[in-house]
Order: sequence, then C-alpha cells, then structure tokens
Amino acid sequence: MLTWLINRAAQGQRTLAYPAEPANMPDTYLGRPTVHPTGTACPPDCQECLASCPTDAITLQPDISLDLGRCVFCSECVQSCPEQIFKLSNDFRTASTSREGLKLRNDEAPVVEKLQESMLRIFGRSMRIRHVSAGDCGGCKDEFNAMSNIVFDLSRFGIGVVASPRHADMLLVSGPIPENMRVALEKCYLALPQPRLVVALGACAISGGPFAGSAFCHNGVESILPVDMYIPGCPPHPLTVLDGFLRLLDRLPDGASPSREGTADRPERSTR
Amino acid sequence: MIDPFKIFRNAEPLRLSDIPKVTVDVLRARTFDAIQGGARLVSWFGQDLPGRNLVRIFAIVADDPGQRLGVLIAEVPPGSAYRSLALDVPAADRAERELFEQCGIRPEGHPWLKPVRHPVPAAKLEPGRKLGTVPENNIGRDYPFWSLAGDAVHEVGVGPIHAGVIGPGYFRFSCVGERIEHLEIMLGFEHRGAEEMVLNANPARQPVLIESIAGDAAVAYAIAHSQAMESLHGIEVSLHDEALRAFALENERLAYHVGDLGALAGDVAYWPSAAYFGRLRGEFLNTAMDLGGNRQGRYFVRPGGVRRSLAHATKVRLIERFRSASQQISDCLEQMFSSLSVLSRFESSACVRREDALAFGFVGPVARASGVGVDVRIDHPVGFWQRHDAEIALGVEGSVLDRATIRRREIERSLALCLRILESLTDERSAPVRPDFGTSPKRGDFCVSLVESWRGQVMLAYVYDDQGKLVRFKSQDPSFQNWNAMQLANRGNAISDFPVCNKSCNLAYNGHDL
Repeated sequence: MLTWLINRAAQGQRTLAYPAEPANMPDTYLGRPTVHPTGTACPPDCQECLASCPTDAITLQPDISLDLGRCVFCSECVQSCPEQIFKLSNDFRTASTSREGLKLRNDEAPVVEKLQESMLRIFGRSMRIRHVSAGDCGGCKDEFNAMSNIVFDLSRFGIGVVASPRHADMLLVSGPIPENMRVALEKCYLALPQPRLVVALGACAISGGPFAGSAFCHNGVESILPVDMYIPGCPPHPLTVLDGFLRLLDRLPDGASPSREGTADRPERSTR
Repeated sequence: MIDPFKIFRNAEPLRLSDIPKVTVDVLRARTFDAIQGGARLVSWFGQDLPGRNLVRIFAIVADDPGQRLGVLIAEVPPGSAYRSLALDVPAADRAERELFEQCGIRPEGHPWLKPVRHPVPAAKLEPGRKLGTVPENNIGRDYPFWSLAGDAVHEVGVGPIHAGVIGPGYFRFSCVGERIEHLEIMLGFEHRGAEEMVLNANPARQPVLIESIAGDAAVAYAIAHSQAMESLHGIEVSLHDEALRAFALENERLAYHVGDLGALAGDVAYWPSAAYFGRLRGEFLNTAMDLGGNRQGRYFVRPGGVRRSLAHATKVRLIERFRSASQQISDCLEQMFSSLSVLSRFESSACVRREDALAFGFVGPVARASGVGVDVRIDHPVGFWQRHDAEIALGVEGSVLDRATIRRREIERSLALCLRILESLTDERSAPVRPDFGTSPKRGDFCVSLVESWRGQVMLAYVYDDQGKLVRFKSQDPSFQNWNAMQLANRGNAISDFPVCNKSCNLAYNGHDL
C-alpha cells in the first residue's frame, strides 16, 4: 500500500495543459516543412530536392510545391536544397479538410474547416472513433494509441475509441489499404451509422506514403471511401491529431497557433 | 557442426560463387543434420531466377554459441517438389509455406501447407461500384481452417478488424467450454508487397520503406539495413555513431517493453501500472524525437552512421531524464510485480514449453522466457556489440509472467546501458550522412544482416545479380517465427486469458505480412 501511495505521489498530474495553454515542441522535432520560393528560378538542372524525397512529394512545375499528403517529414529536402527553399518548422499542425490544401507553397499551415452546424450539434461534444489499421506499419497505430494515455487524454474532450463500428461516428484509417484489407474496410465503413466521418491518418492513408505505387495496395483511403479530413505525418504526432480533431469540431479558436495564448474557456479543464 | 555450409558472420559480405550449391535433397538433408547437431534454422527462402528458369533456395542456419552463420543453396526448376523439411524441423513450417507461395516450390508432405499472405494484386476499382463486395480470390476463402467437432465444441472467430487499436488478423478459437483447444491465426491482411517494392525503390525511398516494414521497430530495421550496406560497400562507421545507434536501439526496446507492461496491466485491469507505464513509454518516444526528430525513431540511422549528432545540452537533458525515469520505473515495476492480483493472472498462463521454443525456432523475449537463450546482440554481435556485453535474462516456464519478467529485466538493463552510453559519449559531431556509394556493391553480392529488435531477431538478406542490381530482398521479422508461439501458447488456456497472452507476445502483423 505504501508503494502505491509513493508512486501515486511521484507520478503526479501529467495531462498536458494544451489546448488551454500552448504546446511547445522541441526544436529537434521534425514538424511541418515550409516552402520559401526565392522568387527566381532554381539553378538549371538542379534536381536535388526531387532526388532526395523518398515519396515524390515535391513538384517544381508550374510552381514549387510540397505535398504534405505524401511527405514523410524526413527533412531530406531541407538538407539537399542549395537555395534553402525548404525549411523545417517544429509546428505540429498539418491537418486539412481538403486534399488540395495539403500542397504547400509557403509557410502557412493547412486549413481545417469546422464541420457544419448540424454535424457539430451531433459530434461537437461527443465523438466516437473506430480506428482501422489497413497496412499500417505500426507507427500511426501506436501514436493514435498514445492519445488515450494520461498525457494526451483524448477522453477529456468527449472523444473516445470504440470497438464496434455501429457505435462509431468517425472511421479513422491508417495504412496504404492493401487489397487484402479492402473488403473489411468497406464493410466497416458501411456499418457506421450516418452521418459519419472518414479521416485518413498518416502519409500511407492519404497517398500510399512509402507504399505508393505498390501492386498490392490502393494508394490510400481516398480510392475507396470519401475522406473528410487528412492528417499528414509519418506517423502524425498525437498533438497533430488532437489539433485536427479540435479544429474539425470547432473546439479551438480560429487561427489558434501553438505559440499563441489559448483562451481559457475550456470546459474540459474543470472536469479534471 | 554446420559442414558443408559456407560459414560467415553476421553482416559479412559474401560472393554467391563461394556458397556451395547442392541438390535440393542434399540441401534438406544437410539442413536437417545441422539442426540435429544443435544449429538453429534462421531462414529458408527462395529467389526466382527467371533468366535461367530456376528457383534458388537459400538455407541459412546459425551456430549461436560459435557466433557463426552458415548458408547453403540449391537451384531447382520452377514447380518442382522436395520432401518437406518441416516434417523433421518444425521451425521450417512457415518458411516452406512462404517458399511455396512466393516461388511455387512444393514441400511434399508438409503437414500444414496453407497460405501465408494470400498475395493478391490490387485490382483497378471501378467508380460507382458497390462497396463491401467480395472479389474473386479474396483472402480467407480458400483457407482450410483446422476444426474440432463435437457437441461441446464451439468456435470463436475474431477479425480481421479487432476490438482495439491494433493490426488486422483473423483468429479462430476452437473451444470446449472456456478452454481453448486450438487457436488458428490467419494473416496476410497487411500484405503490401514490401519485398518487391524495396527492389524497385530509388535510393531515397529504400531506407524509408525498410523502416516501414514494421514501423514499431524502425530503428532495428534501419540498423539491419545500414550494417548490410556498410559491409557490402566497405563503409566505416565511427565509434560515436555506433554508440548512438546502440542507444537508439535500446531506447526503442525501452519504449516498447515499458508500453507492453502497461498494456499487460491494462488487460488485467490494474490501472495504476497501465497509466504509469503508458506515460513513461512517452519518455522514450520523446527521447527518439530528441535524437532524430521522430518519435518512432525513423530517419535517424542511415548507411554510414546517424543523421544527427546529439547536442551537448540535449545529452545533459537526456541523462537527467534517464536517471529520473530509472527511479520511477523501478518503483512502478516493484508495485506491479508485487501485486497478487496481477501475478495470479500471469503465473502459469499461456506457457510456451522450452522444447517447443527450440523446435519452432522462436526468437526474442518469447524464446528467452521459455529458457532459450537466443539474442543477436550476444550471439552475432556487430559494431557496438562486439565491444560491449549484453546480459541475457531467461525465464523458466514460458508463461505470461515469464514474458513480463523478461521485459522487466531487459528494461532494467537497457536503462543502465543507455545511461552508460550517454555518460561516455563524446561531444564529437557526426558528419551528416550522405551515403553516396553508387549502385553496385563492391565487396560481395550476398549479405545477411541480423539485429536484435525488442521483439527479437530481425533478418534482412540481400542478393545482387552480375550487374550489381539488387534482385532479391528478403525480410524476416521475429514475428514470422513467433506467431506459431501464440498458437501453441493458447492451447489448454482459458479463452479469457487470451488478451494477456497476446500482449505478452506483442507480435507484428505488418512485419509478418510484408
């Protein structure tokens, strides 16, 4: 019993203050890359960034863009570009409600449009998630699992994980969708009551990631199901996912940034 | 002991022309002899040689106490058959099924010749088609499940989508009352064609793909790939970078072992340990982020070294973090392992017998819990491990408690080792790794690389052709061997103990399915 009490005291209160207070990531964190066109053309024949990118996320024509949906956040392009067009940031916000919005041309974070009012009335304060791992390497699954621990504590937002798709509001999919998982995924989707949301978690689920072009996969969820939100990363940091969910559910003030003071009207804080 | 095998060491480059070639019957007989003589079957896999209309079969065995590996090959026409090795060497079970599935070579008399992964190429999908429809050759349709008949028998089918946030697989329990008579596990749902993709990947994508085979052991896979590339191309790695790699590997072991103990506690509803270990696991994920920027340890280890050095201030912070975590983990371990309600659920449940672990060639903590002392860090050391000892912990009865205790011991040792590495690490800067070693290997056209991941032995094998092009890449996750342990461990067990058995093995779906 004494060990019990000693451990309880030593462990203390570990839940993050985010989003009431900003979450600051360490400088070492490989966050969202940013694109800084020089305004002049790249040196002729320079293909360094294209050659360095493991997932063909970069296009140079008609303008320089970096597709966060393909990006695995490895920072190879940052190291390779002689013009320093690509820079690293430690911003964890990468979620987007539009696929096109993931194609970065500057240093702005993608936009998450909040759900329409009728959907917010249903999901805004209670959201149940069925996660399906469809060819996931384990990274996205493990980071999503971490969201239920006491640090990120997803349940304080009324968001939880359920076993049965019949109880779920959101189908969260990770992995490049192998053909061998396709039917199971489709059946799971059909079992969700309507209205339902589909969220693609991680580079594989958005674009196939490193497995894009595999003869045995479908290059992500979008070729099978309509997708409501994309959460880039390899794997996405738990805060990236949390930020996406909270913006989708309109639980963050517009334009809230990790470096800005959050507002204090967080009802979930008082329930601790 | 392993004559006429070509003897080599872990990650040593070989010439294919130096490997003795025998008939398939001799290959089978000599492999059997080697296993009878105490060697361990590491791998048995095929390579299509389309130009010569042949299939080459590789047999790789390990003499663990002698720190030696052996390889022998046979070449047979496609569609040919030989007497199954699994009849005498159960460890060949899944490998022979895979050889049949990948290359069409039939092991005659194989007792369990069922699909391993059902590799079905993804058909082009028609827009507007009906969702949830079953196509031809869909996975599982042609799978002959073992079944049990009788009035008192019932079957429980679970999967491929399980109740938790976990990979997909189909489990069928044949039960009499509460007791599991047999559990059959059908896998393959995550088959992504990883081996073929690595062959065709450009140099930028290749290491990322290899890290994604089993992304929860990304560091182990990246080290296995790097040490093979370094030896094939003759690249030296600095002691500093080798130490940082060993640190990253042990840190990954800590993250998953600590997480597994939390998950085990959660499965027996012992919430304090579930919460504490769940949180403490994050310390090691955050350490991976401090090292390389990614919580899963991706993109840190590359052929030639590591991509980032550790800044002095970060090193000081990590030493502080490891000291504090060591104390907290020690206290939390004491609490969990002195709780009678936890011990009573773990003790003597889901046992893997030592003789089964040896016969089936189980690896990693699952084997060690059953008293089989296999550990690549000790048996086949490369780099850092040649100069540092790893201590091995062994269990007795192979129960859930033994597998939990192995994790406890390995956590304690890895914490101490990580601290020793940090404290002795010089502040030298690693040169940024820019591997530019051309396309063709210089020092051989065959290499087998082993690494002890937190799950056990990861094996990557590389075969090049005359032009120096990679023509066969074989990846073997520890789970490939150990899924059979899950099937055996559950026999005679109460079905309610399945979750703790599952967590105590914590095997990979993706690493198996490739």
